[in-house]
Amino acid sequence: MHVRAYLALLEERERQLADALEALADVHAGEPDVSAIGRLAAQWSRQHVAALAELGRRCSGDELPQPAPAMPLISLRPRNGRYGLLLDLQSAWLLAQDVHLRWTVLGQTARALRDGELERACGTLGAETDRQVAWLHTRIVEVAPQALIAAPL
Amino acid sequence: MYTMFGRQVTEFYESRDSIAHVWGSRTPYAGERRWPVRIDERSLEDAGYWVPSTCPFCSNGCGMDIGVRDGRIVGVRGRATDRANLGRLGPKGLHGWAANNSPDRLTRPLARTAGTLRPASWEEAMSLLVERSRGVRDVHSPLAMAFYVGGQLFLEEYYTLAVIALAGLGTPHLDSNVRLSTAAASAALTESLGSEAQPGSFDDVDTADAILHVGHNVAEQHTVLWMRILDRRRGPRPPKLVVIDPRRTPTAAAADVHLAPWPGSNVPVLNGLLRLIIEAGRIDRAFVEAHTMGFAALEDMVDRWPPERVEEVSGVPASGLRAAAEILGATPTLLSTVSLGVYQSGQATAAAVQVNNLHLVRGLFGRPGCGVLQMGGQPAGANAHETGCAGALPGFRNWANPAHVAELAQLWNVEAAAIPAWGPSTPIMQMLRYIEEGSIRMLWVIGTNPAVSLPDLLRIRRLLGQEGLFLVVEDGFLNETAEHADLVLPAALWAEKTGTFTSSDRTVHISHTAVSPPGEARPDLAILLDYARRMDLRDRDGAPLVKWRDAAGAFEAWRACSRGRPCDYSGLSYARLSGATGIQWPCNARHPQGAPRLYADGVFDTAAGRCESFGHDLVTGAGVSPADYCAHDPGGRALLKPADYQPPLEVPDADYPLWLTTGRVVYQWLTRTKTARSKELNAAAPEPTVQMAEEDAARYHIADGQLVDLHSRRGRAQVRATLGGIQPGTVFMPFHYGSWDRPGRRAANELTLSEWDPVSKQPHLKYAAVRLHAVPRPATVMVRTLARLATRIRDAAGRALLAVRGFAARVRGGAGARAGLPGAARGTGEATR
Repeated sequence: MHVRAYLALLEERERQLADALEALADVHAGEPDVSAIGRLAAQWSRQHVAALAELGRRCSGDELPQPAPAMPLISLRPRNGRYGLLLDLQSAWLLAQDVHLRWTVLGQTARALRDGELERACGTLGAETDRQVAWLHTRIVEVAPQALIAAPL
Repeated sequence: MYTMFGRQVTEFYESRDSIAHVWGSRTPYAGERRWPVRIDERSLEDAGYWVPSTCPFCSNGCGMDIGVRDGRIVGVRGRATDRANLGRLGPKGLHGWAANNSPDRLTRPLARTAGTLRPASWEEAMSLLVERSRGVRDVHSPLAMAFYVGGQLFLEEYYTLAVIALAGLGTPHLDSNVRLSTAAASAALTESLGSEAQPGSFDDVDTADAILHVGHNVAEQHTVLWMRILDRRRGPRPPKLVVIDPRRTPTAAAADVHLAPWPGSNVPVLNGLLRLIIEAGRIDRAFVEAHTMGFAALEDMVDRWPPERVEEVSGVPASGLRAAAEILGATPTLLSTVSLGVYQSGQATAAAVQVNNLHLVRGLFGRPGCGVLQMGGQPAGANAHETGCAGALPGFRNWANPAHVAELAQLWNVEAAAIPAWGPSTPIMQMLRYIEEGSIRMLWVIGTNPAVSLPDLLRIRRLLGQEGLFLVVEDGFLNETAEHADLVLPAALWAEKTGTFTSSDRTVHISHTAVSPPGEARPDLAILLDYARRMDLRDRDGAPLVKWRDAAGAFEAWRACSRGRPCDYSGLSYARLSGATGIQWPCNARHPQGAPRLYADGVFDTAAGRCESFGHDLVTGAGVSPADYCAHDPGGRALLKPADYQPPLEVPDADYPLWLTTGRVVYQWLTRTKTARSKELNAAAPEPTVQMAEEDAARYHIADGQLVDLHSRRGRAQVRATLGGIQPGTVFMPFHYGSWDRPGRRAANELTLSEWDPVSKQPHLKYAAVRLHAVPRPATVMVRTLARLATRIRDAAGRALLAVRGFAARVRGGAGARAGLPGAARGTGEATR
């Protein structure tokens, strides 16, 4: 079984997402909404990290997981300005999408394992990832025209 | 009036002293439309004739006649036949018209040359405006142009502006200052019911068995509505009154149950109330099942809020919460009103939605006495919303619905692509960021005063004065914002032009021209029409885009635009509105006399093809996608949306230990542009104060009336203290006071936060963390000044002594003494600082 390894991988990705959202909030502190919701969304991911660690411990019978690949999905070099905000939101969205897909994969597995607890966790925590994705998408769509057309170089 | 030596002598007449007795004498009553008539009047001279109009203060929309003599306004009186007031007027209505006659009205355009505003002709002013508009649009795209408009224009002006901005120029940067007052009211109604149409009626006061005010100091904000409530309370079968407000306002003082939550904790209190009501089984299951969606999720959420937890988070005692829930759960009819205490606080939309939820779970909708009034503030704020100047597309159309955009394109005869339909339109707080970074280069402000009313004024002043921004200000007065303007356009005020506006319960009123504007001042509509003509805005066939030339023409165009939408004006006309009373929309073939209440059939505006928005995540503000909404099309059912508590981002701490909350006083209106020009109103509340509990005053050694310095992380203000009527730990400042009539930092918004509700984008003006200290009294100041003076004299003497010694030393030829001299001087300099 690769379940434990996969849990560890998702845990690492959630940690990266939390870092990305916090960086977004810090760099774009001049955008109060990005900053406030970014921090809240990061908090959700931190809670997911803790929950995943707990779920991982339940699978102690599994083979030891491979060390999760440390390679980040996105580069965490946040950029200033309207154009920078657009790019940073895009990066975070990409990461959140990756996390979202992994919750889906894990949810499918939980059903096949008849593991009710894991399935419920995938449902409720994955729903929060959904909300992260939806928020980032909403904000990207709002900012795009102004960023690409009117923002000073 | 009488005749003396063959000459008519005119007399001052005042039916009541509304300054001393704000709400006047009681006329007790009960029963639908049984409210007795009481005619309030105040005239400085006998009127030659009376012109039908409507009071331009607040969203109660009181029918009013304007007394005119020799081309000037000389008085006003309430109209006995109007459904909003049956003759009554509040203190601002009776006195505020003095502003029209004020000698410091703007009478000529002003253009800035070499740093100074100088008089210009209209031709010069409009040419400059058009030249700069074209320059910005052609070089930087329409995304570099923005419009920010007040809540006191007429419907005809708003609609014309919306057509110019959305279809003519194609910019989404169009917003109104209702974003600061009632954006969350509209958002909450839209989230729950599908459109922001107000479901209730002021007539619900007549029969309600209980009334709930949430963050609504109705006694001071809507004085005439409060008179009606007081009259019910004095009559047979008086309604129970529950008030949720952090302060002991006159409204709260009259309540049977007053809950005083800490700033930012409305959601826990409302969740707690819902839990107690659901737990006690006091819900209308049949209504919930037939007409709503989402009950299970709501029940699940509010279940997490037992009274003890509510008390911990909000400071509202569990016993108080239970007492309120007992009234709200048992009453067979309920009128709820909500206002700024919710809309400008944390989780604004989420909290306002819970009031809708209370009515939905109890099935209290669409019947007499069962209204929800998500109150408006300004007289024409509703029209800014309806016409597309405040977030939605005109006619409560949905930005995300291509069919709605296509309807407008057809109506305006433009390509659908001409409309910036990637929207929604840009809220003011976001526009400020675009100005800050230089991507908005032209801002046209009409009838509002952002230099006092927006949060974090230090930043606002910097932005308005920013290099590279062309700022146009159109107003009746040279307000604080105009001081930063490149171009100032003098506008006619109410009574100087004809048009319509709509109250908080959908009542449309007309206001006729009574007098001419002063000097060269012009109605906003005339200025906008001139602008559209000069900008050569055209439709797809090359004909002028704006096809009307006056207010009546604009109203006809709006009737067509609103047809079939929730705010349907198609059955209204200037002739009908000039009758005895205002008329409620929708007014059409189905409701020829106007509809007193909406949703009597339990069918809400939520069907995917009809709704104004597909809704949002109440916590993050994320939009619900069209596909998701259509997959679960509520098809006319109301949506029960739960919300968990999110604590405010800024809370009191060691450095800034107190909550600041802001609000109104009854005698002033917005930034006092009008009310301060009435001698009586201004004398009743001449300067701002900070209200604090006796306990806090003692802790900070502050006496009643003493000057206090308040600091937040953003700025500071200095105002006098007034003690009592507020819970310890919270202080209150009115938001009206700027600096045009008295210099100094005294605006509450020097201290407030630049953050906002994620759904409605309404700024959080109701809380900020502050610290304060007393400014020493004059006696103390004098002692300190004398002490400082004494130190200076001593230091000066010391320096003189040193100089003499230095001189002596130089005379003796000692180099070391010369080196010592500057060091000594530096030392004394620091000591006297």
